[in-house]
Amino acid sequence: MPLLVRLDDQLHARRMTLTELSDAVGITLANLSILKTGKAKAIRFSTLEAICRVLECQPGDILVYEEEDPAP
Amino acid sequence: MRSSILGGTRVLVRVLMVLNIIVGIAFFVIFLATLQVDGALLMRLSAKYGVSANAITTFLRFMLVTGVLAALVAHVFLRALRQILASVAMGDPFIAENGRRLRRMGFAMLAFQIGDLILGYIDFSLDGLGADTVNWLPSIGGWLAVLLLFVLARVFAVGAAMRDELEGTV
Repeated sequence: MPLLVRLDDQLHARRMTLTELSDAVGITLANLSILKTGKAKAIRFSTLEAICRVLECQPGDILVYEEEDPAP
Repeated sequence: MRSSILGGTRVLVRVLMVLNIIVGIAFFVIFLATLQVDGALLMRLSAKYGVSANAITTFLRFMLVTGVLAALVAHVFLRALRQILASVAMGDPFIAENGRRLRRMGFAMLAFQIGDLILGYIDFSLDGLGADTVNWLPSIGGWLAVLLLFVLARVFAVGAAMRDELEGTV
């Protein structure tokens, strides 16, 4: 999927672990792992809002659209 | 569904499946028997119904074959129902497979209803020949069950797809 989740970069920039983020936003570690590894099919506005609030960033800092390489 | 009711229903479905197989085999055996005692059967029926005996024998055999086919259809229906009940017992009934099972049950019920119409025709024909028959009436409930099963199958398919989507939502 050309939509990438840059949660790792934001966590790294704020010297925060996924467990700490999970505690701060009130979303299970399992669900955040699904999001981080790009396995999520959809994200709720409430989840995005909570992550942006804790990481003090914009949705665009977490979600990035990148064109897929055309098949050779 | 309470576990005792669920358990009871599962046992009932299993019993019905066994009975259905016995009935199906019985219809088939009787059908074969009518071929075996062809002369004697015709003689008896001729004594009672005269010239119509030949046609009555044919209709009788046709009815027995319809019975065998109905048992096969009922087996498909009951097996799908047993599988759905098993998924309920496992605590996960809202799966796409159950939608497909309900659809299969809908088609089985439809075949059953068509078979019922054929039996109605046979009954009407036998009446015309002066044979003793039971009164046939169309089964309105059966046709409603066909519609209900197809609607339920669609509801399950959509519900399962929605749940799949929700499972990937964070």
